[in-house]
Amino acid sequence: MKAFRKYREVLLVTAQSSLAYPLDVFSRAAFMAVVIFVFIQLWTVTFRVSAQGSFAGYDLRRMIWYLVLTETVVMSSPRTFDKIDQEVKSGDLSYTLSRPYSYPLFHFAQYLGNMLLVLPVNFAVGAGLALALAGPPHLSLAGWPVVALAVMLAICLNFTVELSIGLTAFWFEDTYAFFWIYQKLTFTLGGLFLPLVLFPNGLRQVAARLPFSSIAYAPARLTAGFDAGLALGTLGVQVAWIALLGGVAFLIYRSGISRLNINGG
Amino acid sequence: MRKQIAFVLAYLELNLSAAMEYRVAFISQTVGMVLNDGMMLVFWWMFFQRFPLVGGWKLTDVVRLWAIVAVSFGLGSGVFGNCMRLAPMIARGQLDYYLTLPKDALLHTLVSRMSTSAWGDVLFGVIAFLAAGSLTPVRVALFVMLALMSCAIFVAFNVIVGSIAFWFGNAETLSSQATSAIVSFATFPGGIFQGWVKVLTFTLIPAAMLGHVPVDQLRNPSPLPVLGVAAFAAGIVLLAVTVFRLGLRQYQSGNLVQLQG
Repeated sequence: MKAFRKYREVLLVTAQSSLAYPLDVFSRAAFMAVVIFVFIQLWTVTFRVSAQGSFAGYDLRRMIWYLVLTETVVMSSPRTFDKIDQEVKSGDLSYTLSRPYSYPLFHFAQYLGNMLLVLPVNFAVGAGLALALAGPPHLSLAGWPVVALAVMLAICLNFTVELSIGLTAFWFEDTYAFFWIYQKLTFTLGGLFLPLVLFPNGLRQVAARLPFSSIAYAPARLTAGFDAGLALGTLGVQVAWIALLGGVAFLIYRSGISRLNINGG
Repeated sequence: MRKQIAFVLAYLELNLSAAMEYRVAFISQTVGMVLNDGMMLVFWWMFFQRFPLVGGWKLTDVVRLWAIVAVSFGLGSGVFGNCMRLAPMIARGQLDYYLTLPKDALLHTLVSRMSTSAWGDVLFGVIAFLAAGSLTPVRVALFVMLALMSCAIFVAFNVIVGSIAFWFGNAETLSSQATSAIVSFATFPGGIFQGWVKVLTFTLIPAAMLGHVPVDQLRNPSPLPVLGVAAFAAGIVLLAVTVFRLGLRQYQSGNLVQLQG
């Protein structure tokens, strides 16, 4: 436990630093408001035109709260791959190797620290809009801690993927293309905009077996229809993906470090 | 006018050759952006599988919308690459370099940078337009015209929101949020916006002129709305130039020593 104290300090210092730039936090929240507002327009018209009260268990209110949760996860996850990409390319990573901390864990602590203020603000803005324009969520108060845990696991899972993408800079000149593709896979197959239950059948089965749905769809669907079994299953799958993709990131890191040439000077 | 076009083209050629120095990065960013944009259409494809008509819009209309917006965004950030960076440049006093040269300061500032991934947006836009089908000579000509007008609207809008920095100092956040807002509104079917939100998309955040009206015109061409978009584009460009020139009177040099590549 003592070994993790330094990472806790990194997390807290990063969180304090983000307090120094409140405008950045609120600008992200403003964008969150724009996105949620546009989606409310889209789904309001869609439900009105179709003259149906619900689709696959999602009525308008459930759909809006679903989107609030998916957008909170995606928009609150600080971008980390580009920082790692730059450190690998510039060689700054070599300075950190002699320091008494793990490079991936150091970045993880910074990642969590950056998210600490942004996440509640984003959620508050999204939830405020949803409350005002669609009404309160169907989820009982007792379900919210589990949803919060699923959101945190989703954010951790996102970190393992971004870490891997950033570290591919050991081999590739440019890692942005990988990130864009990953990001859009989360947007589409991950269910950021549309719950998986509304996907065409074949695509739904493929999407459900991929990690992207554990980032966006998994925590958000708990707000639409919560039960203990579903919640346990969701958390279990998220933990399994974190273990697997965290392991992959670690292997990439080890392999990348073994290619590193440090020249003194 | 001819001199200015030659100037823009010369800068474009220089920027492209500079990007080609990192050929692999250029190609990967271009291909990555095509895939990036294309995957957003996967969402819309799934959406329209469930709901074939939303606010009078079909999947084909949304594909054309993405085509128009992607080409205008791509040309805007490819040819006039500094249009989305004006606010931080003004706040940091980085206009000094352009003010000392004989070329028009605004045009010179805008064209002196190129976003590499922008060409992926342009390529995607062209592919999406072709994929939407029903290609006739009139529709192709209209697409080219409307995309150029949308590009002018996009660049001018960014110049206006970026120029706020002349009066308010650090307006980077505000200007980037305004850009995100116009792109967000412009990439959703126009039919979902009603009432005061619709008014907003024709005025303060002119997403309708950027994407929705051009798509209506590709569906049912009619001279008057096309002229309307052209007039709006000319008007907003004029406004952008005026705002920038007025703002320059407030500009304070950063006394920066910088090397210009």
